[in-house]
Amino acid sequence: MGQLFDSIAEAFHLLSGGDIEVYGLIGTSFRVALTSTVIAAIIAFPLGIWLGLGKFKGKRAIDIIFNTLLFLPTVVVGHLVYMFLTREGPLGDYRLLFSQTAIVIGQVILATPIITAMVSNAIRVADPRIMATSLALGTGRLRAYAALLGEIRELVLLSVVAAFGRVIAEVGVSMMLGGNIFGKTRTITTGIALLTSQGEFGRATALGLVLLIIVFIINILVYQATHRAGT
Amino acid sequence: MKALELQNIRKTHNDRAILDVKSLEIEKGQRVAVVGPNGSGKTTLLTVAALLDKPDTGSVKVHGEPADWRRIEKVRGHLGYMAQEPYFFRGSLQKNLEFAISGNGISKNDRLSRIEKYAGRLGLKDVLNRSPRTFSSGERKRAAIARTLIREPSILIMDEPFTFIDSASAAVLEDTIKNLPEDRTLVFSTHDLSHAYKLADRIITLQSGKVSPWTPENVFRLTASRTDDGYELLTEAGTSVYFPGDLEDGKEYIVSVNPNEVLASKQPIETSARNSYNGEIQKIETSGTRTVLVTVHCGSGFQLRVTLTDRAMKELGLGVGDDVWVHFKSTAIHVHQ
Repeated sequence: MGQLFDSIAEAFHLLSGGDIEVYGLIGTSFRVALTSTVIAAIIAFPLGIWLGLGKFKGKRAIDIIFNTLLFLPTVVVGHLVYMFLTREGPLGDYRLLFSQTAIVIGQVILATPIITAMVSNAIRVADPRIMATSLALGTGRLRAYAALLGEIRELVLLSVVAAFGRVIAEVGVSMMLGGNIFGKTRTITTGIALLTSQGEFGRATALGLVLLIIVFIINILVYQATHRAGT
Repeated sequence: MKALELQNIRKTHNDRAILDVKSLEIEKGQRVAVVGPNGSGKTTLLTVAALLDKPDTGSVKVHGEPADWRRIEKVRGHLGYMAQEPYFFRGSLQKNLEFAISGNGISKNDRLSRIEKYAGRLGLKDVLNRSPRTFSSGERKRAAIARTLIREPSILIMDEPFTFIDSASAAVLEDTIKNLPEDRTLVFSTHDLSHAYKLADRIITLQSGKVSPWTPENVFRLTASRTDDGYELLTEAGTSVYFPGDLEDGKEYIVSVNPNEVLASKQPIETSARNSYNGEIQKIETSGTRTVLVTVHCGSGFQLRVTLTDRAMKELGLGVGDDVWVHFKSTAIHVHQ
């Protein structure tokens, strides 16, 4: 118990004391996770709309595939992308392995199904009159889609936050594709893994708490944003 | 010039035809009411005509231009559609109205003046900053009409604009429709025949997804003339129809009699019905499950349609060309104007 309190105290000390190493990890984690989430959202919004509104053969199969992808183990993604990026792999010439870009590629694969599935499900249960109303008012398809996402914006935001939560907290992709290189690809989670293996439990727990505090603050902001929206 | 042309339109749902229209043409500037019982395909016809619902087969032309479903937005721009239960986007009425006209190349000043104009016309100026989701049903209908009209589409299609509406809102709506520019085409569905007679110059009846050749009911244009005990309404050729209500002497009225409220007999009979006529059966058509619509020609251009069951037809032994008596009570007369 004493160790836990010490860790909490250390967590606040690390955050308030301006520990450059810790802020470096937080910076890397955020930069990579935000980039991945934004790219995933750009890919997943059209996919989610297509799956949510579309009526075509094989739709159910695609739905099941996306729902399965939600549970992809991060090490499996890390392993697959590793095979592509390794020197002998098809994308080996780009020398992307053990870079932040490599982590982003892996995390995009993790985040895209989350946003796609959540957006398509939200559209499926949304009022079917939304699209019809936009089109009846003579708007083009793109504007109608934007209006549709706007009408279900809390759920859209929630899908993005869920995806961000998944990628900022994952360790498999970051470790396997980033290589945990200090000052370059070390993130909060790979940092925790390293510290634990070195027996520095206090600092490891403190870093874990830092991660929790950050995610907690994000959730408060999202809660406020979604509850301000009203009618 | 034709505003809308529908050819060989067919739409099925679970293998059942819900719309089957061989040909329907609507002239530019025409005011058309679509009537018919629930489930007769009114909404489907309107959404297909508004290019919001793709038919299984057939073609739609708007101002002579065939609607190409791969590039439908351009043709759809001529049309304005209002659903029976309209959806409103989040935010104020002002935002909803702005949404309808933004992206159309209309300047900000023009947008504001249009909002002012249509909100004013439909009595919504004071509620522009409120969300339509908090409106009464009458306000919501008026708001939906303002949102459709503000785009100034050349063809206006409205599904049941007079349902769920208070009488004050109905009056505002009637006034708005009557004052539409002459070149504006209007197609609306309604359950209330009086709105159809009042506002439309053509009535289309749908029966089981098909356009029926008959007007919905027995509709007559009659002139009121005073008698001692009430009023006598006369057809142009002098056939008298008894009606005991408050009508203006010498004024012309449109009245209708529901065919379900007309009685048929082979002989003259003594009944409480004040209106009895002798005539000849001209036509017998199937009109529903085990019922037929019988057209009786009573002379002097006065025709009555009577709904009879198959069994009644059989037991009375009626056929085309037979002599028959038809009767209806004066309370079966509906005065529309």
